Amino acid sequence: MTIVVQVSDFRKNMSAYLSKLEDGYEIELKKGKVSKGKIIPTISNVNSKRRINMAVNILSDMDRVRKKIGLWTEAKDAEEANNEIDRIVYGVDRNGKELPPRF
Amino acid sequence: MEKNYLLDSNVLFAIYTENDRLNVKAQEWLLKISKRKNIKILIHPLVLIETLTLIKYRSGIESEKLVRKELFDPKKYLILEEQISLDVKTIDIFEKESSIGIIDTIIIQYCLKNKIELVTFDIEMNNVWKKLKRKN
Repeated sequence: MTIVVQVSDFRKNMSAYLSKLEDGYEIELKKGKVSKGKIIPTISNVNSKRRINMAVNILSDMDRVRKKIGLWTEAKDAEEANNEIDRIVYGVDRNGKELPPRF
Repeated sequence: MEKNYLLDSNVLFAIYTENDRLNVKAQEWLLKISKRKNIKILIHPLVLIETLTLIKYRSGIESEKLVRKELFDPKKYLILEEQISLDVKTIDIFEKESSIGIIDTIIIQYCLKNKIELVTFDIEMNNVWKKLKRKN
């Protein structure tokens, strides 16, 4: 993933931006709308033994992805959602309720 | 010690749905897990199949592509490369437990065999999982 940053902002928070490279990001430096170059992590940084926290990474992108997907449900709780999933994927849930013709 | 969590499709659905009530439940679980150091979040191929099918039918192909990219991001999830097999133990559980289906049974047995924590919002599946985990 690429972080786009203005050169002036990058100068002010250089250490914060550079630490992002360890998480596999690239940094694109811009002056106004003009790209001035990219900072790409070296192989040793990419293969860093620093452990990735998968839950944190899911959480950090979750809202952005949710908005794009538009995955809706009228289920009021997890159990109703589970039955709805079964009806969509398998056509029928464990209570024998079927998917309506147009869902 | 590293702890591995295998997510059921209803948890992935809750993570990406617009339904805030379900999403909060998933978010709370993720927040709790995010404080632990050595964790991996796993996806079984059967859960992947269910989830992608669900998103495609409910929200369309473009949405499915977005979710697929998320699920295949190695910083977020680890997709298991497993052969799907029906061993005697799995069939035994399937035929004893009336409240769960064959897919649920395969996933439970996989977690038991590999000492992986199953995360599901399905009450019936969770009950069977907890019962068998205690016995195991």
